[in-house]
Amino acid sequence: MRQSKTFICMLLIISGLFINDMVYADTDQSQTDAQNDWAFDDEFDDNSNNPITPAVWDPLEKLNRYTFIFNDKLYFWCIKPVAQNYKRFTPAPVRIGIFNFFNNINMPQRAVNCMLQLRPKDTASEIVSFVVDSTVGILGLTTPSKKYLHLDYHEEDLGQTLGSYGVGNGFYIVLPFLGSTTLRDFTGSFGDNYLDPVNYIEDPYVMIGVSTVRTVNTISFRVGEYEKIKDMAFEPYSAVKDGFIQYRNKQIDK
Amino acid sequence: MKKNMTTLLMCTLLLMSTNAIANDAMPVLKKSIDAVIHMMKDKQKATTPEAQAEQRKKIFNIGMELFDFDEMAQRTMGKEWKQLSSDQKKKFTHLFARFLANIYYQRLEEYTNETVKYLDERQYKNKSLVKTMIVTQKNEIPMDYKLIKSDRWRVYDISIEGVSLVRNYRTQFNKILIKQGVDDLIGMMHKKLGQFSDL
Repeated sequence: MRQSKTFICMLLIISGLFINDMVYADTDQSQTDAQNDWAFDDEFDDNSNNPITPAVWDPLEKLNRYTFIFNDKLYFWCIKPVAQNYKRFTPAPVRIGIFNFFNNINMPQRAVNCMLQLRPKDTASEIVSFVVDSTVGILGLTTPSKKYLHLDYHEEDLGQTLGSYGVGNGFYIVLPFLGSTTLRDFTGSFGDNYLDPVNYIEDPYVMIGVSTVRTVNTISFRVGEYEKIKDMAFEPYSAVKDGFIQYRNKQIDK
Repeated sequence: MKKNMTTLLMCTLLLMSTNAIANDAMPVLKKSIDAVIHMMKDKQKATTPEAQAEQRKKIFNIGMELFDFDEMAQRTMGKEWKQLSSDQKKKFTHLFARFLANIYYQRLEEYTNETVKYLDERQYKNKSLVKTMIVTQKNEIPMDYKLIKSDRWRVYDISIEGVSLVRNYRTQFNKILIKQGVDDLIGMMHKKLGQFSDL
């Protein structure tokens, strides 16, 4: 019963996204142009009567900016020191092993989304990788699938699947702790959560512990990236927003 | 028979010539990138501050030749460009060029034996898109260059993992221009440049 309710909720949100797209059809046009690298970014050449179309609708900008500042402080005061200390005391091979392990068990999300995007070959590749890495690769700690079979992981999620169906971003959201997302991707993440094995751990304390290790371990590889973005930016909020949207558009385009 | 041969020859020549046209941006780019990588390796060997400064200058000069900063500045401003006075245009272009050169140099300083794979090139009129891949020990980062030919090929936009530099700065500058104005933007650029050890 609860599941069907969630399903209906998701359906409503998704249909809402489609309506959004119809209303903001012209905004969406600029997005498809941006996705097409062959368009060569010619806004400058023929901009006589084009208004500057924003990359994404941002009706929550005021709130988003506050959340952005919150996340910024959270990063510098809490997440970064933790990740840095973890990095200092954990040798790189261990961190890479842990990263590979979690990446490996995340196969259902990738395989299902490849399937939903009607990419049977990539789905099969994900399953083969999983079988090989879980056995030969010792519980997924190493990636023989990449080394010997030359199979790549396909970082797919439900947000991208919806995007490939033509669902637009909806609008931009900055979530506390989690950062940039859009209505579409946020909606998708609920579906992906059903495919995340970590969420099926019964003991809540163990689950939180495992999630924390996964998060800190992942971030330990990325310490310094946010600082660079901020360093390069004149307007960090807009820089991150635009960067996120461009990156997602590219991922969907692949 | 002879006619056939001539047609064949013509076709081959035609194909060769289109090939020659289709691939002439990538070698230019490759030459510059190779030169920079070579210099970064040299720089690691250079120990005296004078030698380092020398290398820095050389790399900066290559960058100046490789990038079309005028084109970049214009595209970054987008529609607003036409509304600037010629003095503002000049100031903005100069500052933006210096800013980008510093950013570029800062990124290069992190160079640790990455290699560049040249994947693909597509050309349309006087513009070209060259797709490359930066291969690090850990992963591969797609990096696309957009070039424009005036007297020679020069880069006017770089996309890293699908994020276009020009587009990203345009979004930021538009926001600043709407809220504050050109003079404030130029002031901000002056301030931002202060944080670099200047080139």
